[in-house]
Amino acid sequence: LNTVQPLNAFIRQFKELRGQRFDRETDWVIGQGFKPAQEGRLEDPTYQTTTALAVTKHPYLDANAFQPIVLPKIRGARWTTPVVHRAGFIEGFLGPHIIIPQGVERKIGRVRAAYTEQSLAFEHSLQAIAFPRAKTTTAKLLTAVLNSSLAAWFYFHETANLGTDRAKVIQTDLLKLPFAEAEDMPDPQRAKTAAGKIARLIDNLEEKADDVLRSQESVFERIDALVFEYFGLSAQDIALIEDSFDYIIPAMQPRRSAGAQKIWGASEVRHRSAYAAMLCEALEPWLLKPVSATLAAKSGDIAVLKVSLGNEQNASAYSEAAGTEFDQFLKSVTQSLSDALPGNVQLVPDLRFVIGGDMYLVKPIQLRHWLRSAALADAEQIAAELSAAFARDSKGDVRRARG
Amino acid sequence: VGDLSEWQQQFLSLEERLAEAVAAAWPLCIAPLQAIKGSMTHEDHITNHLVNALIRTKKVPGRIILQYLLLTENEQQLVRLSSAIDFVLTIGDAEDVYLACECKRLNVPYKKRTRGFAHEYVRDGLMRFVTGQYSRGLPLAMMLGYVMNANGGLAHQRVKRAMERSKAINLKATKDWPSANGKPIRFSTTHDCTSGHHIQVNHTLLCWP
Repeated sequence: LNTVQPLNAFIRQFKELRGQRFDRETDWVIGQGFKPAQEGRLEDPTYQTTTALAVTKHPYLDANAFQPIVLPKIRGARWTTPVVHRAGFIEGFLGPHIIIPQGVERKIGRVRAAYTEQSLAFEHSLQAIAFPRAKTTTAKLLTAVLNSSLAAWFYFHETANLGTDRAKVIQTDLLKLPFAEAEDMPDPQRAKTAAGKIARLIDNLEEKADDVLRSQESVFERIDALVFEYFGLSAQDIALIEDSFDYIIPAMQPRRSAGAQKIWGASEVRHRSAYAAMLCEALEPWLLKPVSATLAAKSGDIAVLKVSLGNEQNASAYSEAAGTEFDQFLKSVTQSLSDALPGNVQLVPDLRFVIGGDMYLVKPIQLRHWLRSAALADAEQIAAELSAAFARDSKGDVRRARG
Repeated sequence: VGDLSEWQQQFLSLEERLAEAVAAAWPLCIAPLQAIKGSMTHEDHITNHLVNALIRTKKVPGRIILQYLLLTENEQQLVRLSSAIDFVLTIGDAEDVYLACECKRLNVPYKKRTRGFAHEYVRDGLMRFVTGQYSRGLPLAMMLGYVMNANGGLAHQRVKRAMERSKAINLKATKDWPSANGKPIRFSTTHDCTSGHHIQVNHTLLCWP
């Protein structure tokens, strides 16, 4: 993502234009809606108001009526008075535009954005990106990207509020998101194909925007997959985003009614299997031989994964069938080790030990230790330890000399 | 805990993986620069493009940091920011352990003649590892030579000669690695550092056709 320009490279903020005119045919600008006047203060001479006819000219979009991706036709009443506290980004009321609430619904976890051709008036909790009509396809693509779990992941890590304070993304932070046309993406051909599919998906959704029974869950999944394609993400990149979005972000600021978070619960076989597959995949480029992983032992709160150096013929699929009781396992391996294991393995983070071509990873049973992102971190740590040992012993030259 | 030797035998070092990634990224790096070769192609500009290509190929393990600034302490124990390493690669949790990569141009064609810059490669590049300015206390580092006239063989000879002439680099050993046609030229040198330990520097010469 570091190699892709941020949105602020081509989208300007209305508040920074400071009276400069912008050309709707060529410029991208983002700004907030109007701020209503407080009726009780209208007689107060120190209270600033202005008259903006535009707020009464278009149908009024209430923030509570907002729907992500594409907006259905808004048929509500218009705002009744042109007297407002601040007029906001009036040019952004004109369609086509992308409308984005500042707030992030914790239940969804995504920044929500909607593409619409309809001209609308809205308050300052909503903001609009106005774009050149010739860039409609790019705007639809951007709408999908803003709704993606990739954007949620990015904003969670790169912005000040989300995850630590109020669940919102302020305008300046919103424009930090990397985004470019397909030809400037890391894999332009892959991006071009994905962009075409995204545009068709948004067009289809636009046609059905007024259907009462439309499900957004499967749409988000399709958008995520296409946006991952657009950004040229690998399976490992995707694992980091999905783990953050599915488990880590919901557990950071859980709603009172959310109950116990999945991340604190015990891992299941499917989690450990996915962890083992990701660990082997991440270790593979570091090693001349393939590796495979199986569960060696398990107790109520600890599990031991055995990672074995092997070859294509004897590489086995992940299994928990051979897993023994933890105490029994410890007794058997202690005899094979020249160094003593720590007395209480629970007090040693990232305990790993090696016997010949087998490496054992001792991990607490909770899900957070068995996420695919944890597998990537563990693989990197194993590689770092082997790198340090490699440099210490200069075994690389020995291997090369052996040919 | 335990004996890592069996794993180490099968392990590709960080430097080997970075060298492979550099070889794969080099054509992507120079493609957009081809049209402005000779004008906007001083070494930092090439390095910026190379790092960008390395990130995009996704073949580099760990984290790559461009223009890595080091804090150094002088004899009066005053700390200052020293010059930056062109780029470094880090993996794992230890922030002070990194693979440093210093980049220099070689065989640069000018209007009247081609300048080798082999002496500069040694004096302004290799020496920084020997004096401990870069990679202090670390056993391994890396140098890249951008061979601007594509004559990698000649650039290699010139660098070898410049190293033989320099006493300051405390050269202990050299080793040429076999390289396939069209692939970068690779060799390694080992030096006694001013601080007492020794460092191995692996060199990769990248030919710009």
